[in-house]
Amino acid sequence: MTQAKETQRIVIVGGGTAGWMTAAGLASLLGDTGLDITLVESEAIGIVGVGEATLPHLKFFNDTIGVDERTFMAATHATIKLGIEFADWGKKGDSYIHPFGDYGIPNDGVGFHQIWRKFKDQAGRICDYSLPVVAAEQGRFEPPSMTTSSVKSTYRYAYQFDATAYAPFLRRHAETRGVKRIEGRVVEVSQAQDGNIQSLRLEDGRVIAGDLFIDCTGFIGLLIEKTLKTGYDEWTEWLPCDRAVAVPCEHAGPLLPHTRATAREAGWQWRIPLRHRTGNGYVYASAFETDQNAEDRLMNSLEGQALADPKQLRFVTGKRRMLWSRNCVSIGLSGGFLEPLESTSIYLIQQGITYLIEMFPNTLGADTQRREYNRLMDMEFERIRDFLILHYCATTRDDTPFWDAMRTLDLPDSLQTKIELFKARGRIQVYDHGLFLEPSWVAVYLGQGILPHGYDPRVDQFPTEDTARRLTGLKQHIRKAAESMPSHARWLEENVPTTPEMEPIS
Amino acid sequence: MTVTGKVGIIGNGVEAWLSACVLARFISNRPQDVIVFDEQKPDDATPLTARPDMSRLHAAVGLEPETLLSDGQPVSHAAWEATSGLRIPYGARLIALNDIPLSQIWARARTFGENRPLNDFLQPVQTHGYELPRQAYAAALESIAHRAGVSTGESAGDVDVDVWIVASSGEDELFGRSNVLSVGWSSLPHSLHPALQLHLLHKHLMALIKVWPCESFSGVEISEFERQKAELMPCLIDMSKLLGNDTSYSDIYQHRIDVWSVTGRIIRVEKDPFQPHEWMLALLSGDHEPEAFDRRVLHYDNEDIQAFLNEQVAKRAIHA
Repeated sequence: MTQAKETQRIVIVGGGTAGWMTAAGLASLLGDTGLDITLVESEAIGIVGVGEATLPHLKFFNDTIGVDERTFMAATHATIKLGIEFADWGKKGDSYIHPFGDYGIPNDGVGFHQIWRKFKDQAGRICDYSLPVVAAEQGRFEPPSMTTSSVKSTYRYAYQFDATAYAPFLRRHAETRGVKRIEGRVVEVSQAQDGNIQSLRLEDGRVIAGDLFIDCTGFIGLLIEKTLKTGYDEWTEWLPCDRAVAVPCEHAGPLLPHTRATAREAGWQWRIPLRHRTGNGYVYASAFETDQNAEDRLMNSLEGQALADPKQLRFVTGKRRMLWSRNCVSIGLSGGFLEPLESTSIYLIQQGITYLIEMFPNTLGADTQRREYNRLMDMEFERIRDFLILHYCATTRDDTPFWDAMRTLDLPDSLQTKIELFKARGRIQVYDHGLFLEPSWVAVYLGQGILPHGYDPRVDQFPTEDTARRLTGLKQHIRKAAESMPSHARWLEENVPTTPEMEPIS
Repeated sequence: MTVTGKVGIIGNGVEAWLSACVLARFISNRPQDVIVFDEQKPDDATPLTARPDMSRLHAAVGLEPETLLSDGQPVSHAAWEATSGLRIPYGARLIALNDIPLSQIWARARTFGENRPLNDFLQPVQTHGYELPRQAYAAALESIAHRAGVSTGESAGDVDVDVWIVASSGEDELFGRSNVLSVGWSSLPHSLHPALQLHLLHKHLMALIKVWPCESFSGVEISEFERQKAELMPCLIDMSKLLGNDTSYSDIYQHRIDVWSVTGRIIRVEKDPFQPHEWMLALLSGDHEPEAFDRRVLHYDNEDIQAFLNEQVAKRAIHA
């Protein structure tokens, strides 16, 4: 019987955020188990630098691979993010924050929003029952408490950072853990008879052989698509934004611990405050807006002096049909892209790495691991997709052709059902696995004007006067907890150095 | 809150009366409009198993399972009877070694001669469920339902109701109508392991409460209820099948076994009522052994691994 060949040589192609996160993740967790990890990148090819704003999961990734938080924050000019403010989405003039945390406290298995719905007229805004929202609105922050009974344990935080600085930061981390970096442009990919990728040839003639290849080449998908022709499922019918123009500018105003996404004529505009500048970008649908108009709108809306020329990006929302095909795993933009509205790009990279480590094939072949990896990643993508579409369709706006089209969009059945269930009795289709859980859906539904007609009948089992009194007490408690925090700017000043002392990359 | 008018429940024993208690408690502010048509068929003699998460529902409807304990015959258990030779603890901790699950460490140890079963290394967690004698349980629920005001009916054909809840296998002519919802194990087209039957009913009733409309059922609520019921089935069917009680097909069954075999991991599936250790013990009882382990275990040498496992055994002894 022939022994299956062991997986030993990992070749990562592409050195952007996805490439170096993968290299750092694999090197930190599997590096000294006999693996030989090589990353091939070309300085001549720029990086997209996805995701200036992140989700709280990134802290877990950094912690797991042994990155010191404050060093990381200093190196990437990071600020804290407690959520995303959505302005003008449900209708012009509306604004709400989608927080990284809970609303109130659940009562005997009944969601807080159900209780709030019954007492809505006297309870006020649901946002006032979320500490991360109240703190974000006041521009305050302190790390969450580890005491689970404290209201200060009801939130998490993420970072707003300079994504172009994250890859070089991780490169140092990965290289000190044994990752070999090869500078060069891939000009040919060789496949074995069974279709697996065998080796890469670089422009200078060098040949890099491997057992498992990780495609981090961005939208182009050099291995997963150009070579293996895996195919791509487009979701542009529901998420039609396909362009972005981005530019940094000087700060103006206080350093807020949240990202802002403002609905614009044919898409939306982001504002991400970093320590040294503000990141801005306009994501739009080319069917409704010319590139020049988009650039003009962005440049005319900056809060401070532009610090660079605007940069244009093109993308197609969707995902690769198989993110792991043969002996190639696509991580990052090569695997798919769901537009940056909820800062999910880096999260999807992180999940790709996590699932790869869990399903790591000790021998070649690995049909079962491949199937399981693809099942898990498909689930991640599809669940995020529905949540993103909700932002666009939960609107009454008809003031531009784009918003009128989004308002009347034909929705995926899965999302249509979710919306109707919420409208009826505030029911959220909860799932055990995947990214956006009940508070996230509640934030967008209520924030964009979808108010349930009724509420969970179990709410009626709680004594009315007692519950109303508790709501009042909770709101005051949250407000006081927020007021006891330092300002975000002060917390950064006291805890994170502004000038990173970094070794030059050799 | 406005509620659909009359609700007719057709079924037998526990399935009918627990449904009545739950509807009277959570849905209807006119419990007398909940009408039970008890078929009074002879019931199965095997006890029903209430998993620990059912205690909240029991408390809500006013049932204390302890009242059902028969003299000298305690039915509270920390483990459920999976097969005649296997009792699976409801709660157990698989202590990780630097984030590497214990099962992975154990799988590696087996390659150098460890022959103690996985069960020896699980740390007990204090939680318990109940084995409930069907007739006494049904009688207690019936009594609670009557006290709450639930009515009984003689013949379902004579009463005009707005919604039918069917917990029975013999009411095929009702299915297909838009106002009929089935709950419980009796309406399944296949058998389910006895220890999982009550869990299924529990989850059906919770789903029913959550989709119950303010006024009348529409297609959205019904399809959501059916979706939630369908979501429950893969794990229950697969567990039944592993334990030899079900022969129906689940798409994911073989994949579950394959992933366990080649990675020593339990796949993530929605609405999985079982903890990883429950799957592991069931898989191992079916001679499905992990053939590989997490590569991170290679960071540790055989002695480290042996010491870690011995430490788990010692901790377990202290608990005991």
